[in-house]
Amino acid sequence: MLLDSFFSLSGFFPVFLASGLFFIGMTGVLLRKNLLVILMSLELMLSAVNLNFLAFAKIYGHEEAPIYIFFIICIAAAEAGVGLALAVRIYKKFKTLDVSSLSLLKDDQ
Amino acid sequence: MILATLLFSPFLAFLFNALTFRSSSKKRAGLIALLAPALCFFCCLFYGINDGFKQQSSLTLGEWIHIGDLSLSFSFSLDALSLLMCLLITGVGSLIHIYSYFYMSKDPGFIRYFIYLNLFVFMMLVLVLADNLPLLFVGWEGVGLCSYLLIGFWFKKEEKTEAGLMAFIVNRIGDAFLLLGIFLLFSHFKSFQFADINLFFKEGLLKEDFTAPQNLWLAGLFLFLGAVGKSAQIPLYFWLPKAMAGPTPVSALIHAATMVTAGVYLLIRLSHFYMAFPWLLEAIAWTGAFTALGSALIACKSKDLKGVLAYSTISQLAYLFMAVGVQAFSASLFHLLTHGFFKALLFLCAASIIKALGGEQNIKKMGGLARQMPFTFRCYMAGALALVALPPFSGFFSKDEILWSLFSSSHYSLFTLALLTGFLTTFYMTRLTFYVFFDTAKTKVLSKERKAFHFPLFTLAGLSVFSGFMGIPHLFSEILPFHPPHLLHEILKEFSPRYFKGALWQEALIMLFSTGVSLLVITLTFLYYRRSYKTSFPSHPLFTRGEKILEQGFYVPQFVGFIQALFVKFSQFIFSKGELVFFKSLFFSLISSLLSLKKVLTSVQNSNLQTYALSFLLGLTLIVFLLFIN
Repeated sequence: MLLDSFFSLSGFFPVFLASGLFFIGMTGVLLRKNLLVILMSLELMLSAVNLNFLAFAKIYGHEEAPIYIFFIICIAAAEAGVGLALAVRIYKKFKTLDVSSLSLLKDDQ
Repeated sequence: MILATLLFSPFLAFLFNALTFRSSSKKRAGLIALLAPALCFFCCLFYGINDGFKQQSSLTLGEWIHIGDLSLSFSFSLDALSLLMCLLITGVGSLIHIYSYFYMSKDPGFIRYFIYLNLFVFMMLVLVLADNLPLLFVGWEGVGLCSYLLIGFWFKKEEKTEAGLMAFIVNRIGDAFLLLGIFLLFSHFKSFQFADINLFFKEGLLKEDFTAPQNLWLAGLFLFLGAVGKSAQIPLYFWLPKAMAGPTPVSALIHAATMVTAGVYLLIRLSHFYMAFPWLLEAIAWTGAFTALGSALIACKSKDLKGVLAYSTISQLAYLFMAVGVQAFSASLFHLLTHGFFKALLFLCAASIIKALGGEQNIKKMGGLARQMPFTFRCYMAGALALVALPPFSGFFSKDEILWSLFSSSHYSLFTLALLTGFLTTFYMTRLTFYVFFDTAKTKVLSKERKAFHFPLFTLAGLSVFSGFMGIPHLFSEILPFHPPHLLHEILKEFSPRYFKGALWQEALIMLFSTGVSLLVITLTFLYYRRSYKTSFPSHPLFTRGEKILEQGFYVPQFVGFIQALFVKFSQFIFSKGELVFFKSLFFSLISSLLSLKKVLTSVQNSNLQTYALSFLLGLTLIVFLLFIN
């Protein structure tokens, strides 16, 4: 029964997949300590959004959607480049990529 | 024009010296400070000679307060009374500036001293030139401030600062009353102008059925109490002997000649007002009488050179109050002027003596100075003889006029007290003179008399001798050819309308009696001290007891000390119980609550990347959620 309804929604399967990926990415961003892993999780979230977008485009029959997807992929790539460069700089300065220890604020007491 | 000069020259000198305090050389600062009052004096003199006493000039320097109906401006007026006061202030002031220039020449605070002194002259001029009560109050407070600053001039010594503080605080009590009096007067007249107030009473007193507004007696009393504080009368007199902690020329200028006369000036300024309240005048006269007698008695046993002069000042000021009390305002002002001259002279002589003896103030340790300081001795004698009121010295004329007005207005008990005080004055001055100038020398004279001091001393001595001719008594003007007029009475007719008539033989008798007894007292005192009295004089226990009471100044200093201690204890109690217990716990609880608030707030800004990301996310979710709800 449950399975039946699931398959009847099979058109929405990519949407569920995408939201699943998004939450995995989000958990990674919020919980992982390594900066590189966080960046990877960010990319995952971005891809999930892309997938989501594409899925809805397919459902509603918008043919031009992949053009936007390519744009987003390009921007994500550029963003990843910037992010990695920052990560390199941060590692050089702090000698660590542990985000919980990346702080310049003064501790009180 | 003259008013502008009078007000601005000391003020500009003060301002200039105060602004160039660090860079100025002593010589330049001193000369500037010295020129200002001298300029004022010559302006006044010139103005006075050119019929200045008969006219009135006024000057308004803009508006001060404007609220509703009340409009108050910086307005000054110069009439006969103010002009006389200005002449005294600037004349004696200039001489004392000159004296101080040399007296203070080695002091590191030289420039500061002259800044204060100029400010004082300015404030005193504001006081006597003001044509409304609040402006007078400005000057009144200003001179009080300068007095405080100059008494505590050597502020590194604690007792001097304390003396300054005492003078200031005691004056505050009087000033509070003065302020109340001013407000009460305003509430009735809706005006602060002296002219309005005096005019009301002047016109009123001419009418037959005039009764003074009865609620105003309180205003009169309060103004009188203000005057009592400033002019050091019972019960607020004890600050003046303490005020002697300041440099001696300051005592001469502020605490003998000018500032302490401000109270009497106020009463004379409001003479018509006070004439409407005879019983208030009676009270003033009696306050004066008791102060005169009491302080003269204390002066008889004082061992301090400046102390004797200080108590003598209080007692002479009390004469002024007695004269005011019987409506002899011109006699009061007359004695005010002559007293200003001879007491300033005596103080300057005392300054020379104390300086020559290296700071020794105890008269019992002095002696033999008549030979060693002949010039100072001669000047001192001029002042002392004027003070004991021997003819033809100035004090004789002025004090005789006061005695005469007391007698002819049939205040016989006051007259007796005044006469008695006069003899006591003779006694303590003779005693002082004996100890300082004639006794065997006990302290070495360190420095010779300085020529620089001669000019001011000599001028003041001349004034002490001759200034009495301003007011030739009625008796003499009858006898002498040309009938010389009583100049002062003519000048001050406006303020002192009452004329004291009486039989000529009575007047002559009083003069002869007071002079004769004074001479007798001088002779007896001299003889008494010449043969050291301890062996020849029988000492009675009652006598020694009285002596001790006088030595302690009727135990008033102890009483004041007791009150002071009470205040200190009270404030300590407030400190220990209120400050340390109550406020401290209050503030600590406040602080701890703030600290806990801080902890909450700092967690927002904790420099953790992921917390920030989470808060973004939550915020975003919230916004989306809200959008969906809508």
